[in-house]
Amino acid sequence: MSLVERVARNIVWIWRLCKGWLPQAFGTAATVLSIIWGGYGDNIWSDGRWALVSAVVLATASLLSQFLLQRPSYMELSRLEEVANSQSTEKSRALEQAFTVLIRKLAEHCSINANSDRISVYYFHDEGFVMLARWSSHPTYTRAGRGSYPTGQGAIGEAWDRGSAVSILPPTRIRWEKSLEAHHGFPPGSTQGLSMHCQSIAAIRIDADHHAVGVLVFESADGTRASQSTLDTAKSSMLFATLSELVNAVATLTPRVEKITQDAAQRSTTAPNWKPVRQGL
Amino acid sequence: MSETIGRYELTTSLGIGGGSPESLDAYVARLDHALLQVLGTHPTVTAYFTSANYEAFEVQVGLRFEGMEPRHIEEAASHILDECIEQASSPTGEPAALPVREESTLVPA
Repeated sequence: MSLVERVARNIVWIWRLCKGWLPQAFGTAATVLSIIWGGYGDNIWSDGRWALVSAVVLATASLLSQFLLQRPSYMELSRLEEVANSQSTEKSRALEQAFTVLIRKLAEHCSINANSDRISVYYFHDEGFVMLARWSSHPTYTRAGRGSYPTGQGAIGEAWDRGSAVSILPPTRIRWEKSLEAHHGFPPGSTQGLSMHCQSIAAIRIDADHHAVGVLVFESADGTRASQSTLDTAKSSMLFATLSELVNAVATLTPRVEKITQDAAQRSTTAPNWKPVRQGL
Repeated sequence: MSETIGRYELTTSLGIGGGSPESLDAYVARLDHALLQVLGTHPTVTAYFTSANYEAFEVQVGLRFEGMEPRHIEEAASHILDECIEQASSPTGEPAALPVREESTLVPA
């Protein structure tokens, strides 16, 4: 940075400091002077007059600087924030609708668009997953059952760690809840609020530019509908390629995108003891 | 499609009707032996594991497949497990009911 640039930066910094603090500084000084003026007692109109005049001048300066220097005003900033929030909400809704159309088409392409099925897409952000869109022809299944989607839970976590995961789960609700808690990382008691009793899940990690950016999850209340074939069909589709690019674009706009690592090895606390079937393997 | 063929691991849980921890251990040992016998005729399965879960009273079985299209793994695993469960059933009729496949998960190895 050159000397001229450094001087210019310092001037801008001082100007911003003055602009931000001058009205308050004038106001505080006016208050202090008015207290001093009151301390003169019987002589406030003779000896203490200087303090009164100074306090009035500083209070006027405070008001003027408030109106002239602090622009945009607080009122204007509040209004701008409201507009920005509203626009952000509208844009998020438009983005969600675009994703929903895309995953609905993908579900149709993979023949997993029956009333028992659901498709969701998530992107990784801040040590968890954020749902971008979800589609199901069954209205109950489109609701978000969980408030948060941590990386170590369920098919999302398994696909994130391993690249893909296909699970078939018990048909009875009690065994299903126990299975999620015993084998799929759900904390005890957290499965009772899940609205969809999905018996088959097929999930695939969305990678872009050597980074894991999200997960696509197919679920079905029918134990045979979400399978490895579903993932194979999705992977070979241009719809999935387009979805991956879009999820990558969304993830890139957020500050944290996790590089593909060996997190799976760190998370699996009790690794099974694999034995070779034939000697020499 | 050949690029999808790789190493995959299928983990499945077999629910046992009931019994003592000792009977579960004995069943796991018989199932382990049956797996070793049966898998000898399945060249695509290169490794396996069995472990007992005493809390849920179930057996975890893992099969590692190599060189098989993943879409066929579930079906192949069903055949293998059916055969092993049949072989592992005790002549004295233990466990009383045949183990039931509760769930399974297929992931790339």
